Amino acid sequence: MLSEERGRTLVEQLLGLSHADEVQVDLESEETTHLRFARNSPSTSGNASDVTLSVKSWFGKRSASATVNQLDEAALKQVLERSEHLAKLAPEDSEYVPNLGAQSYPSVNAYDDLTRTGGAHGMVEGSTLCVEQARKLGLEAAGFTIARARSSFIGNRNGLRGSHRATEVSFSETVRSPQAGSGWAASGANSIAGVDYARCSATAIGKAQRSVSPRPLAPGKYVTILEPACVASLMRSLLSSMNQRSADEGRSFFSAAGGQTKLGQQLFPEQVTIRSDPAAVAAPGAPWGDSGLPQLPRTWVDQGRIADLACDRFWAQKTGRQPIPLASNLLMSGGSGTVADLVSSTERGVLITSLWYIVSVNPRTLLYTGLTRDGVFWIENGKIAYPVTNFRWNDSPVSVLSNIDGMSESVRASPRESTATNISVPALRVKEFELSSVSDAV
Amino acid sequence: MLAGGSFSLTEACSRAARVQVPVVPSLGGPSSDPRTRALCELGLGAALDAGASYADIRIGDNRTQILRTREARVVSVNDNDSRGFGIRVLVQGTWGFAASAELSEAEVLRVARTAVAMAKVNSALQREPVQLGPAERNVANYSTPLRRDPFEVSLEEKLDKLLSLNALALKQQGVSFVNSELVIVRERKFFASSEGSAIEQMLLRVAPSFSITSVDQKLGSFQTRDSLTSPRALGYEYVEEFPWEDEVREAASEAAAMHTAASIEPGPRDLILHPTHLWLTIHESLGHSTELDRALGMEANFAGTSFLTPDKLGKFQVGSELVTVVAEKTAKGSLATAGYDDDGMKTMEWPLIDKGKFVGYQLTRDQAHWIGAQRGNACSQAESWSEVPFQRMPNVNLRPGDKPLSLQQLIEGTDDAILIKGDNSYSIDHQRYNFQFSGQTAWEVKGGKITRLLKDVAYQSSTPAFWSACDAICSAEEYGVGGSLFDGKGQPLQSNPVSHGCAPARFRQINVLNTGRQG
Repeated sequence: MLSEERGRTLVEQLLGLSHADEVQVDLESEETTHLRFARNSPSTSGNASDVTLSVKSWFGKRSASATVNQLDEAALKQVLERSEHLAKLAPEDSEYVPNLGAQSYPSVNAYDDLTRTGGAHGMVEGSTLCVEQARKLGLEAAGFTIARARSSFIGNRNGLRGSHRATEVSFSETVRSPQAGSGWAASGANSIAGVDYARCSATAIGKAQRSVSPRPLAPGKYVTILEPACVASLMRSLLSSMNQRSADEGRSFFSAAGGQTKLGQQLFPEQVTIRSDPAAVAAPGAPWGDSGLPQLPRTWVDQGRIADLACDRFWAQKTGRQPIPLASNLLMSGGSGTVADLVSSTERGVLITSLWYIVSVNPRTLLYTGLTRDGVFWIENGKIAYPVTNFRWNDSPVSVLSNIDGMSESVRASPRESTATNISVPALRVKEFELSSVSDAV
Repeated sequence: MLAGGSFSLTEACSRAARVQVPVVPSLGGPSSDPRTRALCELGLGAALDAGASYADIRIGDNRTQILRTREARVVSVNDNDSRGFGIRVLVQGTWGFAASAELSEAEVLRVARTAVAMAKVNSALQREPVQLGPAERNVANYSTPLRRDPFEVSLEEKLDKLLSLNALALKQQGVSFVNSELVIVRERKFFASSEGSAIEQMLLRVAPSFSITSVDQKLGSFQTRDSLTSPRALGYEYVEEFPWEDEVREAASEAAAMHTAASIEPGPRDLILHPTHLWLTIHESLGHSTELDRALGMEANFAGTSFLTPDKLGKFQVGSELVTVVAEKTAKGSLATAGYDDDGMKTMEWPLIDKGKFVGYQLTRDQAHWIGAQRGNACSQAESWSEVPFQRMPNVNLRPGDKPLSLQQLIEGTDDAILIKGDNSYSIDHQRYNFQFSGQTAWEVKGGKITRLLKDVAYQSSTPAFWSACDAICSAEEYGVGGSLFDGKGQPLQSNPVSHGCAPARFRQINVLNTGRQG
């Protein structure tokens, strides 16, 4: 991983060598170590180090980017020459905006040196524990753990400079029972010490054992408790669609009739607040976003009202708004208590562990489809009564937020389909969630 | 993170002579660098010295160019180079892998020793030692056949092509926005193994596409129609020869018409699926379910498992007798095509489903023994030099029907159905049973004719039920190939390119949903 000094020096060197009217340098170095296991044995492992050096050059309103992953003098020359050559050939950009000047970036504490130097040993120990616990019980474990250490640098000729470093560790495990049960759990943090392998193991084993012999349940709309991993998946989809320009252009859920948008509208109940803040200890994010815009603390949904939409610099200038980069983390306010507390206060309903293969079905309504996976249970009189089959669902984060009638505390959660560690959300109980057909998958 | 331990560079260099990498006629890739063979010999020798029973090295040099436009504007021009190497080792029956962007003698040694160290640490947990299938010593090269190298085409020509499509689209009635892009990928890799293989390959892919949006402010509605194009392993001639003008006009007309199209009545319906759509249904339901690593639980934590377990091999009827599916990595223009896989094995063709019966899996060299096979079928692939190779999908194709049958004849012979073109939303469960798909356009077929455009159409089914409901497949003249550059699998997630060929096919009484009324 590039040191602070080396990274900053390279940025200055490139800015000095550039012949363009304007130039922006983005430099990132990353070192990763991972371990996979399946069938209670290691399958693959890997260690990789790489850099990404991107140079964007402007000649007047013409621009182009080039990227290399080498840092010798020939590579620096090559990346500058290629970006400058392509920029001269590109047509003028009608949406050109001048480079940003110096920016003030939030201080983000997301780096742990012990994780960078010794994280692999903790990952092996944690994974070994999980495999041995599953094996002892006659169960089969499959899992993945990865540690990343990353340093990032940004600079341009207008005085913009930034540097940031972060470590991340994530773990997920699926435990399967020979009697056709399956359970999943995940944990993510910015340090190896923050990843709870033992808790994941206990949770995945518990769900695998309890989900054996699922009973049929007719498709339909049910009171449903969505565990935090499910909520993380759905809220990430919602946040990524909150874009000012597409709303203004009439091609978004956030567009409204007559060329208006839903910005400022009360779409959800008052308990719904979604923020981003890269410095949040709960789930930090990167300190800058598109074009080097600072990631300031921001409220996207404020007590149910749409408070902000992401807006690029050109569109902000054109429409008289402040530019807002896409969020680098997601923080949804919660209530109190745990998933177990939500279960105990539920008369009848479905508990879902995780959502899988989520895709957009109707961008006009933000309708998504996907599957349930690795633990679906029927709740009766405040207790988990029995496992039920997996389902395909068709529903939307809009409908989910509109139908909230219970929230746990907000916790760091990884969506089932990613290793993201920058999300904190509660579990939600919703009045209805559409389970549209049975899946035979176990 | 895991240190490779202390070492003497001089000592290691002198020992490296125990592995000799053969000379391969260069394609202008990594082997054209005079240092390449020596670095490979150094890395392989160091891995064997450190305790590996087998080692291979892949040196990669990948270039990607991405051009994006919207309306009359070039949104971005990006040109990316990525070079580096990965060393994979087998130690005490356990795989280890390490990679680096820095191609130097000291780094090659460090990476070789790190890979061995990782394998050794993990071998303490090993319960199923890796068994490599028979060795193939291949000394060869392979290059994607192409007539015009897209990297040799000027930037102006490529941008002019995209901007002219946009201009044409904006002239069509009802078109509000248009985006277009061209992605060009060139993968150069040099593979050498401790068994004496040395292979250089140059794989090239192009992916042109556009998307047209029509906004009706009065209705508060927007409709998008993506081009029915597909990425291919061809040169720039694919971009030059594609009938763009027809496709732009058709897409524009359909996007505008979608606002007032009839919303589908849900329920069981017959479907006629066009190759621009059916390729993805094949991919998700039959492509992934015939991966042996999934069937045995190796992907249980992420991509999932498979309902096609080994006990069903040679016995289970997964579809009607019309359904024959073959896998290959040899078809010209298809995205998974290569001369050799990342185990260094020569690529081939083999059956997966014969007249509806499940008869074959996708295998890597180290998986063959799991089902008593003599050898794998060359399905090992890594996204880049920095990733671990593992079993990835070859091109998986549905054989066209034996009897002459055009799409027009199929429509004329159908009383009541929906014809779906283009891929859109797609989702399937983790054992590849329950799926839901939609297309770019859906057309009502009544009394043997296409009668009107429909909207809000998606269909749900379960893989064996769906393929058992297949009662007609058009003949070879209707065959088309679709595909994706980004088939995701594995942890860390890797994206690999894959194509699927098929002719239009009909499926009886499949459950159709109205996506405008869901949720």
